[in-house]
Amino acid sequence: MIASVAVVGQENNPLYLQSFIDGDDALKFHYIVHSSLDIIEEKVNNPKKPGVSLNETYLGLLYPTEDYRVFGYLSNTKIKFILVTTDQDVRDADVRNFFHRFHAAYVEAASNPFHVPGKRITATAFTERVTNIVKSFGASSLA
Amino acid sequence: MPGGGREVAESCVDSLNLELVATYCKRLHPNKPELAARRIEAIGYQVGLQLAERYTKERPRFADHLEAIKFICKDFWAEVFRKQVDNLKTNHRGVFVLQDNKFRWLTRISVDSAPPGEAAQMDVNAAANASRASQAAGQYLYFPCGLIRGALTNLGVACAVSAEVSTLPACSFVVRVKV
Amino acid sequence: MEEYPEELRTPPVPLVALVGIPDLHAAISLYLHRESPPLNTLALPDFAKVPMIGGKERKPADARMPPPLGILKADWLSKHRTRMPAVLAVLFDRDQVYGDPAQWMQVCTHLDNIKGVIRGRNLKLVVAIVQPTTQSEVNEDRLTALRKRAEVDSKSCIIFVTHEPSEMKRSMARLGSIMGELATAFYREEGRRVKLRIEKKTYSSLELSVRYNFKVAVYAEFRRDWVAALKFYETAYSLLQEVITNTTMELQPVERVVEMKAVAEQLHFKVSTLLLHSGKESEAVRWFREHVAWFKKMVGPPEGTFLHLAWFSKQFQVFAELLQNSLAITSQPAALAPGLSERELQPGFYYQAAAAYMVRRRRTFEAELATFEEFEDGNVIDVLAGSRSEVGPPVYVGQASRLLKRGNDNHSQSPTGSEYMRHAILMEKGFHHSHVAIELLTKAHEHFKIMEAGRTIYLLGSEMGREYFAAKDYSNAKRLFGHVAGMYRKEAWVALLASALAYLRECARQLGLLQDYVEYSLELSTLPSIEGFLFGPELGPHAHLQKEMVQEEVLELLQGSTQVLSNEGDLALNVTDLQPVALEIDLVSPLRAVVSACVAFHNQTVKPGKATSLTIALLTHLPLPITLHEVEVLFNQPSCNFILGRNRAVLTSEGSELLATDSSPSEQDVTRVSDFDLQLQPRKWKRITVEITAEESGKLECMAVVVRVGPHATIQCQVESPASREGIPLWMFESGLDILPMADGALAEFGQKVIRVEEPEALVDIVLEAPSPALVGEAFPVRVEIRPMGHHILSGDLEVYFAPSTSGTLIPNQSLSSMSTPSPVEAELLVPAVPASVDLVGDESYVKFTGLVEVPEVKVGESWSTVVLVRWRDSEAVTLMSTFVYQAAESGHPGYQYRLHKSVFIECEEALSVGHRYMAPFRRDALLLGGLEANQAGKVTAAALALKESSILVVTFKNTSSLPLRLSSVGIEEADENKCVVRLSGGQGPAKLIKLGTDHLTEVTDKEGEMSINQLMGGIIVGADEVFTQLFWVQPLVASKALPVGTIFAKWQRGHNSMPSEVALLGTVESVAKFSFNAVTTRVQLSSILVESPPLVVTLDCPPHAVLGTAFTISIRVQNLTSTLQEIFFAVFDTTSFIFSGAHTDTVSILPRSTYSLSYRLVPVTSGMQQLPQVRLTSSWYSASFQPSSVSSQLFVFPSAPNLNAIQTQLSPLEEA
Repeated sequence: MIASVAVVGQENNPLYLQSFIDGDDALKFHYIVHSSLDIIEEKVNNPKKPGVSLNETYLGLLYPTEDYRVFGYLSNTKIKFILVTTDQDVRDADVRNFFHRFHAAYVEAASNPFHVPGKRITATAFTERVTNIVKSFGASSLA
Repeated sequence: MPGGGREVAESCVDSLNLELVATYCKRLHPNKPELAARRIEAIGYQVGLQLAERYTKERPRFADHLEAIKFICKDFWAEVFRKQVDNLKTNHRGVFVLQDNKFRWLTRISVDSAPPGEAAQMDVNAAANASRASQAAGQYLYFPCGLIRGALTNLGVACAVSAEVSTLPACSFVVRVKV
Repeated sequence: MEEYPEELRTPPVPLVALVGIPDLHAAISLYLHRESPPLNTLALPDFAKVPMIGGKERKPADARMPPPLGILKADWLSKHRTRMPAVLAVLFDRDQVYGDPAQWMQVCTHLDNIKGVIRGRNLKLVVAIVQPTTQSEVNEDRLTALRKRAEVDSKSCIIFVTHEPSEMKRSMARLGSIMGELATAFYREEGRRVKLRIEKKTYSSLELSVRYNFKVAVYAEFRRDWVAALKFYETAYSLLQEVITNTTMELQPVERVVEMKAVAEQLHFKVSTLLLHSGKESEAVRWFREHVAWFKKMVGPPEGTFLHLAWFSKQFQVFAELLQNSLAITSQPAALAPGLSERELQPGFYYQAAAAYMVRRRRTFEAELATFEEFEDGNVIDVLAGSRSEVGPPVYVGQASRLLKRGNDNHSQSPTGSEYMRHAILMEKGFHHSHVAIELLTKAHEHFKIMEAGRTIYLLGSEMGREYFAAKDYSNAKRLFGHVAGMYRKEAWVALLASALAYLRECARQLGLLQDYVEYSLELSTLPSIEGFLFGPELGPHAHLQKEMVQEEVLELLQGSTQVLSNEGDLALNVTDLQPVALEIDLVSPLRAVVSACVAFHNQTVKPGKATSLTIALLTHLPLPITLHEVEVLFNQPSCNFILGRNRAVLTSEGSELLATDSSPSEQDVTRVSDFDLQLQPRKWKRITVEITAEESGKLECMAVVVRVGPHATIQCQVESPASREGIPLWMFESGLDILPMADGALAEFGQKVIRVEEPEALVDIVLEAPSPALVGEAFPVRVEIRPMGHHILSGDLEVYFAPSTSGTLIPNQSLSSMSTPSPVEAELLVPAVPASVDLVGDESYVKFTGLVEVPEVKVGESWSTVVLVRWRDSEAVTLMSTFVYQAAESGHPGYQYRLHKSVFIECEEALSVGHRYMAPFRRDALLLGGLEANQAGKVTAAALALKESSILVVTFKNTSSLPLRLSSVGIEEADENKCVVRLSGGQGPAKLIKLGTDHLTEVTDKEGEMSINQLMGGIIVGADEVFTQLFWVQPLVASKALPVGTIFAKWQRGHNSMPSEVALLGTVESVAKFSFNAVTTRVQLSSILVESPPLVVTLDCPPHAVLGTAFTISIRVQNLTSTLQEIFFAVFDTTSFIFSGAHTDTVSILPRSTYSLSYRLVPVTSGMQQLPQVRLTSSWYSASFQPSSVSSQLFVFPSAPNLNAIQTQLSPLEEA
């Protein structure tokens, strides 16, 4: 199950961060996502490390925390997409699939002429769409 | 603008560009051409940012500037202008020249006959000579310049883009990468 | 990991025992320990101690046995490592063995006892016969008897030699190997025995099978069979998991849960140790991951949650240490197995997790402790904290200590649940969670620092800070959060920044740092969108932050209406006159969001004393509207500073009309504007436009705006120009458009906070009058007049200087003395006070002009003027500049210097150009060899004149100016009268000075060449482009290559009809026009001439005219001036107009100093101007030929005899010739 998703901008500033676990520790996900940027940088700066193929947008598992697992995805335009899941073993295919839909949703939102690039995304349409994607996470694996 | 499945009639894009130039150069800042240019370029810039976001969605990240520029010359150009750049030159020191021998958006510009678009920015008794033509065309390249700059910037290539019209409808865009 | 018992941390070492001959034991045990694999030795001093190593009698396990009270015996492991040997070595002295029967019997009894002891736990036995040397006879049957007794085979019965070192070594080796062998055998058998039980399943409880598997694993470890050991530990682990799953943890008493986890911990520790030792990091990591995942749920009853967390934290810490050690050994990092992430191979990662659990442990415990202390009454004692005599160690791993006083079986001895909990809580109370957490975080930090994982480090930093805060170490917490906040500001992670700030704010509060507290509060309340976060439980009631609340509180504080207390209440923050708050916000300060000011002047330049509009735009991002008491605007010119206030103030006319000064003495100089609405709405620009007047010229820049939010609280913020305005960093990423600071688009785009104040307008006029053009050489007057046009000039300085005419721009303060390039002109001042003393004719009477004139006081209506004379050296147009600096009575502040410039452009022309040429006498030519050579060479160096021959010098004076000139006199000053004589043409009088205009002969020929004589007031007027010609005789007296002739001079001045020669210089403009210019003398040095004595002189004699048909004679006289015979060849060419007779060609010789005359008679046949027959003479000696010029050999032929009078005048020049 997905705990939180985030979009991080070119300046490593948060563009969108939504947690799907109710509770007062929304802040925790901010910490998790923010420090996961380190690992993204590590992966991008020395990609010869095993685990991620060169220049692939999908970065795979970034790191697990005590309770969660954090996955990363880096677009060509240096937009970072972060996924935080609760379950310990997730199917890679599901994650990839999720990121592609997430990215697509972001592109749509960013292409909105009323959206100023680089600013936080507050469009409710985007939030709804992401929520749907999150809801249907892993469903494809069952099918 | 084509993309994302939904499409728009090309004439709309043309007349949009015409109207853009007419509005800024003629109506808003008739006596401040450089300001008008800046405004139009800025609009193009944002569109460029957003298009780059869209068109690079399904592809791996570019390794270096050259790859990004090639992408602009091939896929981006094809998406926006329905053809590829005819010639790409570089001095290997951060300057790239994108040569398009038949730039889509200039194909329908002519000077001696005065369609409303040109009439907007040409005085009536103007002699229709090449320089005037390129000068007229120049205004319609503010937007594409911004487009290219925006796309490249979004791909991590901070640069300045300027355009030169030799003989209609050929034109070349000069990309100067900021180092 | 350190708190683990030694036997757990290190792999077990086989234990053997020695008995008999104690003085050998030390050496042997030392040797065995060095052995590899090593053996630990248990040395029994004498045979009496042997029973000690015998365990209790084993009863076979059966199913009816009740489940054990614990899983693992607490001391089992240590027992097998320290007390239960695998092998017993018995040492006998050979004398005992081979000695008399009594001794032998002794040996036998010993052996029987030993056998009795070891039978229970089939210990291996080794018998060693100790003898000093190898060669000593052996009693074979005694030996066999001994073997029989001891029931050992021959190899277990060895000879131990003591007195030969090499032999002794060998015996040692023998002993060691056999003992090691036997030990291995022993452990194998033991293991097999226990395994048998497992397979037989002769018991019911899972606990036992956990225990047995554990034992098998340990035995395997004893014989260094790691693989087997690992296998059995894992089985034990999974069996334990079964045990746990069968029991519902929540319902178990805490101690039970703790026990199970303790066992699990021990097993897991063994497993991961073995895995890591075999270099399988990835597997170890995966194993650990499963371990924690599985036990995450096994919290047990809620009151024991903190114990659960403590256990978890320990798991992570221990694994971190294990991983760290094994990574320290293995050089290259292990390959990453799929499904694992980089981080999971980093010890730092586990330290961090351990710390996180430690923090959670602390939090849960704090809650637990609160409830506990609710219901607990103080005087109940913690029985488990008793002395050693009362409290004994637990029997089973992970169980509670026993209360020995109660009965003697395990049941009654174990404490009750409440006792257990009380003890646990009281123990936990003494535990310094925060310190441990900080330690762990520091370890993690060390690791991540190597990886340069910046953000992770900041995360650790904030966690550390939080722990410091929890430990009430506020200064450390503040330091850490200070760093952290910087990072989150940079990357605009608002929520994280907010959390850091919340802590910082609290730290400041606790430390009683007023300024910091205010700043943090303000920054906090200006953050975008931070609602709905819990900023750190440590903050207690402040955890849920409300920007509005924060703002209200801090503003009340600033207004002095409230004060803030620290938790202990001993420190109070309040703003008073004793401790005022003055915040400074520069362009990089995070507080820019609180107040940022944008200032734009409405125009780029302004005249001094004139008011201009200035728009001040203030913006706040505070969530609630804020009302400013007053706003002070500061400029680089303090005189311009003013205060916008809300209260009414006295109006004065000082400065601009709009501004009014405050009457209070403190701010006397600061003008104050009142009645402004100074309430700032959130994120809406407050625009205030005021009139402002600058007195000083130069730059006027708005530096800062100081807003007063309370009687003792001010915020000073640096202002920005709208043109170059930076957005508020954190708000730039917020959606929504940024509103421009200025309503007017142009101002918003290009508005500047700097304005240029022009020079004050000088109310004085400078008049420069010059009757252009000027002429080279003359003293040219320029009149400078200063006319006050409203300013009463107290005193001033006038400066006159030249600017290069090419660039019209003036070079200020450049006086003549400091002229860089040699000026074409030179200016001279004619002192105005004494005009009479000045002689206009003599140039030398002018005083050299310094360029600077003092100007006296000039009242309005009056005027002051002077004349500056300018003299040109050559004709070049110049710009004459004049700068006037003065002080006016009207100027606002005394001593202010007004300055103004005026310039006039003056053309200049060359007055005269003097030309001259020499002419030989008419029809008389001398052969001048030098001249010829010069001509052949093509270089016309100097005119060549014949010695003693008087030739004619024609001098022309051309007026090249555009003005008429009066030429008063011309002449030639001879260089040396004895060498070269110059006479007026016609020979009358000397050529020294020819006064013109008198009635001796003058000629003025204008360009048309018609004659006109002009006689006026002692001079003649030469109009523009007219030429005046004067003829002279020149007669060189000595031969010379270069003979100086003399200097032509012409005295001239501007020619004006009807002009008085003296004029007053002072007066009106017209007078300057009528100023009589001085006479100028132009001198031209005549180029020196070439003088030589000619060898031959040819003279053509012929009548002035001829009449058609009447014959006449011409003769060509050749004069030989040499003292040698000259041979002349001549040729005469016919012409159509004359008929003549005589030789056409001939060669004649002329005697020295004599003249040969050759004459013809001619009859003209045509009338008019006719060409005489050409005669060509050639001097064979000088090979120079001569032919008279066609002009000189022409003759007018009258058709009939003419009227003589008419001709008379025409001929007059001829007569002179």
